[in-house]
Amino acid sequence: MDAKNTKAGSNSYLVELYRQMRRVRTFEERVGELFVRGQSAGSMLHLSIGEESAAVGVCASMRDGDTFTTHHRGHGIFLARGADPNRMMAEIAGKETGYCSGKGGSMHIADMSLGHLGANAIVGGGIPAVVGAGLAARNTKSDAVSVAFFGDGAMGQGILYESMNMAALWKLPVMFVCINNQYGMGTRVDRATANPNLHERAAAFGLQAKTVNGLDVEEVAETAAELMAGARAGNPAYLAVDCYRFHGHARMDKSPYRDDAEEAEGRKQDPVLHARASLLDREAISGADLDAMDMDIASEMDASIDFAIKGQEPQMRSMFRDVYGPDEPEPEPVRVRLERVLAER
Amino acid sequence: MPKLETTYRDALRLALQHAMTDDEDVIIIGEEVGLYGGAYGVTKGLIDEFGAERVIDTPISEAAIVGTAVGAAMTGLRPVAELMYVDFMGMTMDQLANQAAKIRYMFGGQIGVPMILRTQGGTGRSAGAQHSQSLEALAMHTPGLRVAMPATVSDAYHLLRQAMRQPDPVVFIEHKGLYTLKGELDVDMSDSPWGKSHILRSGSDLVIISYSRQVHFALAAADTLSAKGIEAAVVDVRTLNPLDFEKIRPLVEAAGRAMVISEGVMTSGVAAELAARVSEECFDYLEDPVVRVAGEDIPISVSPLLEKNSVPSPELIVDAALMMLRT
Amino acid sequence: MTTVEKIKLPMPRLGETMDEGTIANWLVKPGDAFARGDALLELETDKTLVEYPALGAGTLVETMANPGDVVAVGAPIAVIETTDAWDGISTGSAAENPEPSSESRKAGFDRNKQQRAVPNTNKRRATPLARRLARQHGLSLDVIAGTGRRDRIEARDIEALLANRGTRAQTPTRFNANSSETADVFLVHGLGGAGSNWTELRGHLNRNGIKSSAPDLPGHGRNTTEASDVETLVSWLVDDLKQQNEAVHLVGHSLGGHLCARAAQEVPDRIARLTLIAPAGCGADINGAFIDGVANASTSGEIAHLMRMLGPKASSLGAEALAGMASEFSKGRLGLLASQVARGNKQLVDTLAPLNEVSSALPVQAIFGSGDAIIPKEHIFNMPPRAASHIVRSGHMPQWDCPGLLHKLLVSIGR
Repeated sequence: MDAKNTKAGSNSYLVELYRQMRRVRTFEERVGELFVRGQSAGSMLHLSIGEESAAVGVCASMRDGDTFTTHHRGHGIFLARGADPNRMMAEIAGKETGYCSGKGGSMHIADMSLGHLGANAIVGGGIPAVVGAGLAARNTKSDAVSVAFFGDGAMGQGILYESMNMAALWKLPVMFVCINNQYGMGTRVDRATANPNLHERAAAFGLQAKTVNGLDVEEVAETAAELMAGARAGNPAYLAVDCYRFHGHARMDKSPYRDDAEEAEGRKQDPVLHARASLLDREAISGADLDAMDMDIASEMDASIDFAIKGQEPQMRSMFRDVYGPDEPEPEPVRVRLERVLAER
Repeated sequence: MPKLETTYRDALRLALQHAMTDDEDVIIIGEEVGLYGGAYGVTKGLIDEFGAERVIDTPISEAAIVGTAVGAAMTGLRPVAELMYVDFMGMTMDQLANQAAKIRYMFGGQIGVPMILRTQGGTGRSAGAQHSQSLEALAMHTPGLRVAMPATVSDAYHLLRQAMRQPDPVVFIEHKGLYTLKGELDVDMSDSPWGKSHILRSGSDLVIISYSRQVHFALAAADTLSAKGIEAAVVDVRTLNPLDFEKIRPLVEAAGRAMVISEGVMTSGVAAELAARVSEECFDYLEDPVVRVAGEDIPISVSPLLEKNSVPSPELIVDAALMMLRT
Repeated sequence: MTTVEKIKLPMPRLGETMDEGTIANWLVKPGDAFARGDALLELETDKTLVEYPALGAGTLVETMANPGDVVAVGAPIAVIETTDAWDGISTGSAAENPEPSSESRKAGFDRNKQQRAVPNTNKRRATPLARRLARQHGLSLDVIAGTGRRDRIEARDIEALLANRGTRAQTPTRFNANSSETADVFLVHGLGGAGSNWTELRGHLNRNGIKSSAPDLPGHGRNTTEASDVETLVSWLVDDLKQQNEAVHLVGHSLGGHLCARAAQEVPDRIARLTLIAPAGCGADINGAFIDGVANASTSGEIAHLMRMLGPKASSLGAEALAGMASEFSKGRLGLLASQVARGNKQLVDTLAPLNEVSSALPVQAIFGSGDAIIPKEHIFNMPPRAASHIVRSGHMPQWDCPGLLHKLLVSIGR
């Protein structure tokens, strides 16, 4: 992101972090609209509204060549790493013009050119890949770091612990980022773990490990920068970012498992509004300029909806493509086989 | 390199050694692959030659071994992950079936996962129910995974080298009963392409289709049958995915009878798939139902007697053929 | 019809459960001409995506639905100009006038069903290969006798029928076509037997491309000629052999062995090789009780007792087979013949003399069953020195007890 060209702690740095968070927020709102318009492919849409500081704050320290995997709630992370909202929205709509030609969708979006090794619909499923990427970086003497983003739900998956152990054991340039939005689907974190200090588990594996409050994006960015610098030097790290999931688990989920008072309180932990207030407080930028920025972002994201809706549906023929490598024969469609074996003899 | 007389185990090691020499991105990762030299000795000595950064001993974390290989394959390495026993595949199934197998497709063809999962299975060592299974059907049932099962010393080398040139993840399943098998290896041989079945014996009465160790049982059975006046063709399919049916078809059409031999359990197994395939493709030429001679639908026992009788034997194959041909 | 008609193309019903379809893609644009069979558009139903072909030549005037549109079955989706009649399309609701291509597709399925239903309702068992051959040659399975397992019809049964008709079945890939090297095998059964005794052996021969013939002798099975003495059988056999185009490999079992040796003596030029299986007339002794039984048995129980003497395979015959044999034997056709073959435990026919004569000119082999309870295996020692002799593990009926081995011995003679 452009934030890397500005000095951490400066006003322009915070402006840039704010801009990135606003883009994530607005994009996610448009994803919700896409669903309501009936233009999304399915309803498996997991919005990261309320968690913007984790995505933007951590990604502020990532560089070209770094790689990452995300969980199913990863739109914001991908945007913060430079994704094109048009192609993202088209992918979410299941269109040929999307990042994965309409085959992946929201939960399997990926882009190798931006180092995105894939979003994952299996909780914890993308975590060990960063250990492999870390090994590749080590063996090829690259200074790339690989970051696994996941939610507090993944803290219950064994694969995380296998992966953290290996990363620590082999001193790989790897960072584990737990975006603790307090809910694994409908189960609040205190109903899933006895010890709410999640980073203590990582510390026990020998990782540098911290928890940061996600309300203040600058604080997230600062902590992440410190941990990531260590990871890049072979001291793998773990960062838990405490935040609150403003909406339900997925677009269809009305969160009956939590009460309105809790939700109202949780939504006060708004990193976007917090950053805006800070900017105005510091007189870093005028309210009018911020409004103009928000308007520009709204137009950009509106355009992404148009782009998605206008996008071509995938060709039926593409269905059998990319199961195997590009020069490999495609699987024989059932209908073709039936016509062959049941042909008039 | 001249032809050499070697073992299945040494042929595998030679394939790994050659691949690691040719391509420094090749790494081996797994439990006991380094200092120990592999539970069955396949990787013995490789850590001395290539170092601990390329022959990587891991904690006992099967899922993360495969997951690490996935990530490494996506970021430029050529990982050969070793799963000590195919029975542990269940531990790795998410990484194997949901990640490795689907990444190319889910991501619209942006990237593949060119990794090998080397493992071994089968009976023959009284290793019991959790160390003796034949689980190739699980991998074969997952689109996106290639599956190779070498039966011969030559294939131990060549299929492994070929597997490491595939753009896609390959589950490479050795047979624990074959490691000491001796045979000739011509490293320079080029007429044995990936994904093609081999006709090891011709015969006009019956076609026996098999793979892995059961190929040897099928050949022994065919010898016995020949002495009884029955000539059985024997086909080694070598790779279950891709599956080469083109050589099988004319044999079955000529003989009118086929049986499929697999060590894996009968129900919903590889033999079932192959038999269904033969029935569909060659229906008009059949004089008998295509029969499966496969593992019993039971776990494997430690008792050598029970173990041996839980999977097809040459005797069972002979009896099946005799029943089929009514002699 | 040359007038140009403008018609509205309705959404077709593709499958019974389809009430509406989605336009996936127009494959022709307004103004484009198309020929019959050209795909006009792709349609998506709840099950599948299909191409919708033009049922005649014409021009697309305008589309009335766009890709992605969901259209009820029967509602118009385009206007076309056509000079051909689009039967069943231009008028009425789709339900009343089912769309032709779906109709023909359904008909196709029905046809297949009927083809399969015929054999099922008649409960005829036949192998897929036999069914295909029958289909190719327009044969009804109803008139074909099956000789395969559980009486199912196999390819060889069709082959046999076609051979009788003078037609060759067209299954070049199915058999080794090296029968030119091997003389046709002519199989002669024994007292109380029938041509069907040889079925399993013939299966082996057939699979190896060797044609065989196995008639019922006079007085036996479906042969309506009666026979009161052995000489009648010999002359019948000689006559039959004279009708063969080429010299045959003559194989005789038990009394058939005697007949074959005699026939070889009379028409040596008709015979290329001679195999005698448990032949009568090669020694003094025989199981007289069995011969009496064949002459006089009339109940299933008596037959079952005889079968136990014949050997392991014969002892396991089912009740149905026994009843069939009982009704056959009770016709009393064999009494006189039997009285010429043995008296008590002594044989009345001599095979050794003709055998000695022919064995100098022909490859001859003799096969005895190690457990033969009718004719002692020790008779093997009386065989002429030039004959190849084998003892096999079987009762009196090696063709039942070890047909595979017998087949091997038959093809090995003279090699």
